[in-house]
Amino acid sequence: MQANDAQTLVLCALADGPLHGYAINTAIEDLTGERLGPGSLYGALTRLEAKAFVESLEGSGRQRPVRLTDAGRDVLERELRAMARVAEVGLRRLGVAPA
Amino acid sequence: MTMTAALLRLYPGAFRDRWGEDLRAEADVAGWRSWPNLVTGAVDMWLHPAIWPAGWPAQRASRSAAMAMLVTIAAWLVAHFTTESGRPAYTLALNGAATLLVLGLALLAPLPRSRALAPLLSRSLRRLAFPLLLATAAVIAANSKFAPTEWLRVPVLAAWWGSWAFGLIAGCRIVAGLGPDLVLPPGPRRTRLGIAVLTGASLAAACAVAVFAARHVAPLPALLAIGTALSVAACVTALRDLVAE
Repeated sequence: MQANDAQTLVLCALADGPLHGYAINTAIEDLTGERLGPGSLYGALTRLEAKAFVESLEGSGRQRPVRLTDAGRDVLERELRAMARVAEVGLRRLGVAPA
Repeated sequence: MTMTAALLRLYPGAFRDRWGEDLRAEADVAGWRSWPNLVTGAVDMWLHPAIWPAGWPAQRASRSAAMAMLVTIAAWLVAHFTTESGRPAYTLALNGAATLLVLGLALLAPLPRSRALAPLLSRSLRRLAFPLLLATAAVIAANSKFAPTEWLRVPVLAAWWGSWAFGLIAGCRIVAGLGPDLVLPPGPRRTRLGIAVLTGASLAAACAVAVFAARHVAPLPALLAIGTALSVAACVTALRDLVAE
């Protein structure tokens, strides 16, 4: 996965707690400045659910909130640590102080 | 029907059942700007049946197997149709593809549970009734004493090949819809091996059509060559999804 990968963004959005699809996209918009397209968002959620990184909660109607599973939390932490290492080394080589 | 609703119908049923309302709400907010993304999302989903929401554990593998079967049989039919008046080299490639196809289907075939034979048979007959009737009508028309005249030849041929196409789709829908109450699905290793063998069959069919297209430079053979090459890509995708599981 990469920093702008839809699956990583969805996992990041869910790190605070369970959300509906629309709220996930709003959290992604807050993070990156733009919303994912609906096909990309629900494609990412479908993939994450197939890998058991997210799971649905009971909700009203057919729109159900989703939350991170333990496996999803682990994989997100691994990804973010790997990205942080790459960012740190890259910024150091550029002679730029990390933000 | 609005454009958004029409685009949502492009998605597989299992995906719409799970995400349909959320997807519609998101698409309504985004408006026309979401249309290209909805189309690419639908294509992406159809290429990856292994990730659709599943009702039971083996359903993802069954759907991948059904897709590999569908595209391989379609590629073989297209290759057969394209090179019908061909040379022995095509026959060799087509026979090779057919052998691999039969082997792949045997590997992927789920074993019916004994108590499920009657409902399975009745469901299969219901789904296959139309293509069987169409094929029978084509055979009767072709062999009747009123031999097909030139203007009747095209509809008879269309009925014959159409019956294969409808039968193929119906067959794959039967396999994809078989639940654990009706059949014992093949294990993960057998499923992967079956799809790998079908990939070989698709490749042989695609090679035959590619050689034909290279010898007969025209738009239709070129399109058919691209189509059969895509069937190989679809099989490889199905295999990769199952390996990644």
